[in-house]
Amino acid sequence: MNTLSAMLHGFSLMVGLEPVLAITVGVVLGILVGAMPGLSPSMGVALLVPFTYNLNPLTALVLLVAVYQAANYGGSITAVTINTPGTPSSVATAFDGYQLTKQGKCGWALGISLVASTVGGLFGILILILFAQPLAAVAVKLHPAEYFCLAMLGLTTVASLGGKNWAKAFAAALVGLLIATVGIDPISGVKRFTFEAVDLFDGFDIIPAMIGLFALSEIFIRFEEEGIPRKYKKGDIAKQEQWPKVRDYWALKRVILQSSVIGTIIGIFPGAGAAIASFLAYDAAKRTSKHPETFGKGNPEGVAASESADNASVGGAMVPLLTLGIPGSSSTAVLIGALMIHDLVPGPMLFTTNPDLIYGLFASMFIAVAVMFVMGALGARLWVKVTLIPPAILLPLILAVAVIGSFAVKNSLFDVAACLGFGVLGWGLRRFGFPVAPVVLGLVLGKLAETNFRRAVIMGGYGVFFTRPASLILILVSVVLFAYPLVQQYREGKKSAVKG
Amino acid sequence: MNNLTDVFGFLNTVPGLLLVIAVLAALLLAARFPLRRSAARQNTGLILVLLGLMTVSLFCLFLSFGFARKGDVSASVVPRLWILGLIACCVYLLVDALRGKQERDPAAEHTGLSFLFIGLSFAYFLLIGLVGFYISTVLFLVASMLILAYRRWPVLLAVTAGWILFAYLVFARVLFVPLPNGAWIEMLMR
Repeated sequence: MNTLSAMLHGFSLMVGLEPVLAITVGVVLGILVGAMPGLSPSMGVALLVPFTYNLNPLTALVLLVAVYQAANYGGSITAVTINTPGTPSSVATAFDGYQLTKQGKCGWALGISLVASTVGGLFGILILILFAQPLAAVAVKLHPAEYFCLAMLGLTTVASLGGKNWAKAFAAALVGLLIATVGIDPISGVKRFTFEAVDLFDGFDIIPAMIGLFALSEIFIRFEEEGIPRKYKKGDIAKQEQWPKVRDYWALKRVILQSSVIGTIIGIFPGAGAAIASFLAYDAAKRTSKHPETFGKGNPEGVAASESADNASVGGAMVPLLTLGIPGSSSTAVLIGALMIHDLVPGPMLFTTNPDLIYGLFASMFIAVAVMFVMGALGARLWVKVTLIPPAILLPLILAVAVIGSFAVKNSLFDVAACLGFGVLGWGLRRFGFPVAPVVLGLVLGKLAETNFRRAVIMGGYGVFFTRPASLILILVSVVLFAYPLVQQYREGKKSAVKG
Repeated sequence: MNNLTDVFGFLNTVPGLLLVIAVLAALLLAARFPLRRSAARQNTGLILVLLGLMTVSLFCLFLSFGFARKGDVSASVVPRLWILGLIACCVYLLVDALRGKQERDPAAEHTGLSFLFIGLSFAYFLLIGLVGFYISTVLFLVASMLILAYRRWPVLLAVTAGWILFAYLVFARVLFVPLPNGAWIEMLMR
């Protein structure tokens, strides 16, 4: 009852021009920031922090959290329309979302992405409200060994991403993991593979790598396969603007719910991030699907899984932030700064000293998701038109977006060169049947895996992974998840050999 | 020992890296000819990619012996783990390819257009450093659209101008991203 009355009070605080305007502006900006490759949710939140100095603390937080929430959805728009994920957590959305666009079903993919994001977002907020404090107690107990095993669990998705080409997928993931070691080692400060180039001391940023591996390689592959791209016919236009019906969304309810749970749980663990959540949810959806062979070829379940997990992870990431003052992601790290600017100390006391702020924030998150749905529905019809731009105009524009997006990350031409280099690498790999998604997965998880592996070994020796029950369970689950598709393929190979 | 240290030192610089890349490219190009006459000619491209990955991995393994050893778990442990895994995968795939169990290389239908755009993209990148973002973007967009046989000049110019305006307003003015002016322009402005 206390939570219910506190929530009702929280909603009453949202009645007014200022909070409604803050939510709307935050959602619109968040969607735009998320959609634009090169701009990340944390960058969007950070850019707005100075504008919140003169706002009251609740309005400031409402604005910033709305940006964070909406940016995670925004990344899916460009992932679906032009195969350029706006955020790392939208990479898995591109696998099937862009395939749907190529099949002339862009509206279909955008509609599913929007509804899945909305439901996932609402689910994450609900878990945050009901279970914030007990969940935070679990999250803070995680040992580096368990973080390493969590990263390994994320990497098991490589086996299912690769399908029959599991060896190529594994090789691609190892390429990503190896590239992630470039730079100054975070534990010992040793320079690795930097060739004395200052730009390489920080390693390769994930955004230019992602843009190059997905967007640029797609452009180069398309030129190679089609030559000079043809213009669209009238029939193409009508198909792209078809939207799913309510029954189509209802058919995805199991995947959306399952992925929302995964997204919220993964989001709770500080540093794990929405990217891992979306990959794991995608993998789980594929393994539990009646038609796993259709994933990666335009299965709406793939889009729904990735997007609902991505947005559910926002609620999860807020759990350690509000209850313990530990950021669950880079965006929540910026939010800690915003809280401190307004003399608020995140932690367990915040719930008792500022209940208005907490429950007002929770209420605003519900409203932000609803506004995101409305804005997304209105904007989606515009975004579909992007796919109808003649390829002779669209493809050079995507290249130009890739260049400016890569430059904007650190105001460095090195990132532009890295983006182009990754584009060529992605083109070369895809040409010979290597999937590029595992390369991104390796880049995203590489530092998390290595840092926690070495910390765990320093703290407890190499046996620590097997003596801690949680990490042992995670290792066993990872081994099973990795080996299962390979064993299945082997059995299918034997069956066909016998039949033949 | 001094010679080995000197070799490590040289290979750990950008000129050393460029030399290694040039030698690797030359070796792979040379390896193409015997492969095209062999039984595995349908997988020439894949085999060359795998040989390239293995060579790069071995080069990285060699460099890892030059990392300073600090702490209980040194900085070379994890990279070597990934390198050995990558070499193992490449060997597995190489054996498969030589036995003809891999899919044939794709037909190179319009590879020239891909290479042209890769070259154009790198030229765009180099031009940004010389004449700045705005001029190089105009040149790149116009050249690209013309190469792709788009001839409606009003739309072409409107799209180019629109993108430049968007980039200026959003990135330069709102986000304060200092888009490069280019070395030549800065020289003229002095």
